[in-house]
This record gives sequence, structure tokens and C-alpha cells, in this order.
Amino acid sequence: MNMTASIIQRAASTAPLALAPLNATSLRDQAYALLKGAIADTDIYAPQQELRLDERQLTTALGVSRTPIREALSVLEQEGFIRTVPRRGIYIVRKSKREIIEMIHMWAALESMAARLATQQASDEDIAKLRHLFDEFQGSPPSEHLGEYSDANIAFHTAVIALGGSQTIVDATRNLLLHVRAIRRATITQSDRAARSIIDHLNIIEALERRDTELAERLARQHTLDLAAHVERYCDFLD
Amino acid sequence: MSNGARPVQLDPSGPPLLAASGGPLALAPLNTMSLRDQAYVLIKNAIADTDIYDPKQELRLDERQLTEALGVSRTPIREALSLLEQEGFICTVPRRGIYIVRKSKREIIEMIQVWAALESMAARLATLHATDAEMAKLRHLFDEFMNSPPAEHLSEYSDANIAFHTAVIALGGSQTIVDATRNLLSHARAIRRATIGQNDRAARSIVDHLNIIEALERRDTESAELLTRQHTLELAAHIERHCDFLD
Repeated sequence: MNMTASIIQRAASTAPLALAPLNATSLRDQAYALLKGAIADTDIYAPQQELRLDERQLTTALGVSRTPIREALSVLEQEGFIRTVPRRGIYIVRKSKREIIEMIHMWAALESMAARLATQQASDEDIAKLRHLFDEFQGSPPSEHLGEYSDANIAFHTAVIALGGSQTIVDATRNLLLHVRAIRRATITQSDRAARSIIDHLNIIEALERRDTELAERLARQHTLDLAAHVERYCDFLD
Repeated sequence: MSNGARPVQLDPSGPPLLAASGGPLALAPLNTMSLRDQAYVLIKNAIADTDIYDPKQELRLDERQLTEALGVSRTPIREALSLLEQEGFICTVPRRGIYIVRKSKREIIEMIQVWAALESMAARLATLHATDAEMAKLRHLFDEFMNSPPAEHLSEYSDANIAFHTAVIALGGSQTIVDATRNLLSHARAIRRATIGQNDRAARSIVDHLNIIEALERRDTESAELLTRQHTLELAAHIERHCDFLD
């Protein structure tokens, strides 16, 4: 991705006279968003992937001074996405199998709480939209379009979290999303998981539609805990 | 508090320098990252020790004063403030300054719901992974309240209460959950302290805690998870009904 073009485009896409002041904070925030987006678009679990970041190259690519880049990197390090190794450089962090399982546990806790809150607060229309995410897979099994199904799968889990109506839960899952997405993508092709996943999803949707708080919460939690158990058993390539 | 308007207290002599605690010949390099991390920890602790829901509390931070109090240059202070802003503890208002953020009632309820989700998952994991010896320590947190009601020692009970919830999270054995709850803790702590004196909540709280401990001891995964979640969701419901002072 051409970051310079994208930062310019971002500045230019604001409406006339509604320009935000280009202070140090907004430069840092833009650098942060661009760097995080670039990391999210990188397949960090591919063994040949270069994980080292070059601060000078980032500064040149983004066309800003070192201070906002350093502040953005500082936030990304605090969030655990990168790590500075003294006298070696800055590296994108790959999570261990243990850490990924912990992140999936946390996702299960937060998505099931969102499902609980959704049964109490979401509108019927918003809940109805969940079904349509899977419309194109009703006629043919998901295993025939795994790439599309994987995207629908991730959209489904993100939608359940949004339905809960808690910005705090949305924010807390945002930093997990990048890793959980990579793992959901990598595992959807294994052991006929896609076919079983669509059944689980339909059961969760029905529980939400019936406003069955305890059931929706339990099914959402169990579905994602099953992913954690699957990673525990089958994903030794992570270590 | 009589001096409610006091500025945030910083104690530069607080935690030891990271490099000095490493023992002979095991010195960590004194790079700017460690100064930033030290400034971050000191400022965050100072915010946690401030009663930010006291209406008279001064919430503005002075960057120059922080620099002088901590005896470091502006760069590590700015980097530390940048992290704290990212985490939602402070916010920068252009041309006004840097302010400690007070959460709204809505945000506090959401934080407690997140806490309920994470602590109940930790309770689930604890029934599967924690040792009997670790579990047994939970009961002892409440030893001193067994013979006299907690209402007679509310402040001590409040500390034991917070220690209990933190201990359940630790028993789950998930560093990811421990880290995620750490940033909620300073707000959750302020709120648990503020509400423990209301509606005989302390007496009901100790009954709930003992039920949670028994479910953990029986390794009853579903009950331990459910009781833990319900206990903290009741705090959220209590705040929804009774804590309008937050808005």
C-alpha cells in the first residue's frame, strides 16, 4: 500500500473549510492509524514474512518528522503489536499459541457479554441483519466459497459485538481483532469447521431473535471457546 | 476530603529505577524507553491514587510541572502522556491543556460489564487450571470479617473486596485477561469504594463471594462462571439505579 498517497488522500477527502488543524497529535494519530492498518494487512503468521520495521523508511513513506512516528510506534508497542529490541530494531510481534488462545478466551467473554446485552437492547431490525450476512451460503455449502465465508464469519462476530451497544466492548475487541481474524482465517478450512460454524451461527441468531438472554450468551461463548480448543489441539504451527 | 483541590501527587522516589533493581552485572540499558515506562507508571499510579470523582478535584495536568517533578526531559513525559491518552486516562484539549478523564455513568456501567465478562471467564478457567492451594487462599481474604459484620469495617472490607476480585482474575491464569482488566481497575476500584457503603451492599457482597469460592472449590465451571458474572452485573444494575451523581 502506498502510505504517502493514502495520507494525502485522507487530508484531501475532508470537506472544504472543515479541515482539522494539523497539530502534532493529529499527525501522530494518522501515523498510528496508517501503521496499524498496514500491520493488519500483513500476513504476520506467514513464515517468510519480514517482521522488521525501519523507522527511517516509515518517516520517508509517511512524509512526516520522526516525532509523530515515534509517538505512534510507542502506542503500538504499548498495545503489543510491535517490540523494540535494543540495537536491533523494531519488530512486528507474532503471538505465541498460548497468547492466541488467551485472546480467543477474552473474545469469547466479550462477545458473549455483547450477545447478552443485545437480547436486552438491540432492535429487531438490527438483529434481522445478522441473517443476511449468510444469505449467499444458503444454497451451496460454505466449503465451496471458503474465502467469502471466512469474511462473512468475521463480519458476523464483529456484528454481534456491535449489537451489544457497548462502545467499551467494541474498543476492547478492536485490538484483538487483528490476531483473531488471522486465526479464524487460518482455521476455517480445517476439519469441516465452516459447515459446523454456520450451524452455530444460526443457533446464536435464533437465540438473539427470541431474546433468550442466557442461551444467546452461552451459545456465543461456547462457539468461540470451541475455536480456542481447536487451536489448542491442531495449531502447533504457531509455536 | 478537606484539600480536595490538591494537584495530583507525584512521588519520584516511588518505584525503584528499573536498572538499579537488576542485581550486579545484570543492568538493563538506560535507554529512553525505560524513562518513558517509568514516567508512565508514576503518572498512572498518581492518577489511580487521586479521587477523580470528587467534584473539587483539580483534573488539569501541567506538563512542565510533571517534567520538573519527575526530573526528566519532556520527551519521555510526552511519550508517557501519549500512552495514557491512548488508554483513555487523560485527554488533550487544544489550547487548554491536558486533563484527567472522568468517566460518565454510561461508560462506568460499560466498564463494569466488561469486568463481569472477563472475571467470569477467569473463574471458568480457574476451575479448569488453578491448584487447590491457590483456591484456598481466597477464603483467607475474608477471615477477619467472619466474626463481625463487614459494615463495621467498611474501608478494610472494601480493600478485601477489591483484592478478592483481582485474585479471581489472577486464578484464571490468563495474562491477557489480567492485562485487560488492569486499565479498568482504577475506575472500578473508585466505584466499588463509593458504592460498598450503600444499601447494605457489603453484607450481601460477602455472601456472594462465599458462594463463588465454594463453586470454584467444587470445580463447578458453569456455576462459578455464572455466579461471578451475576455478582458484578448486579453492581452495574445498582449503579444504573442509584449513582446519578456520576452524571
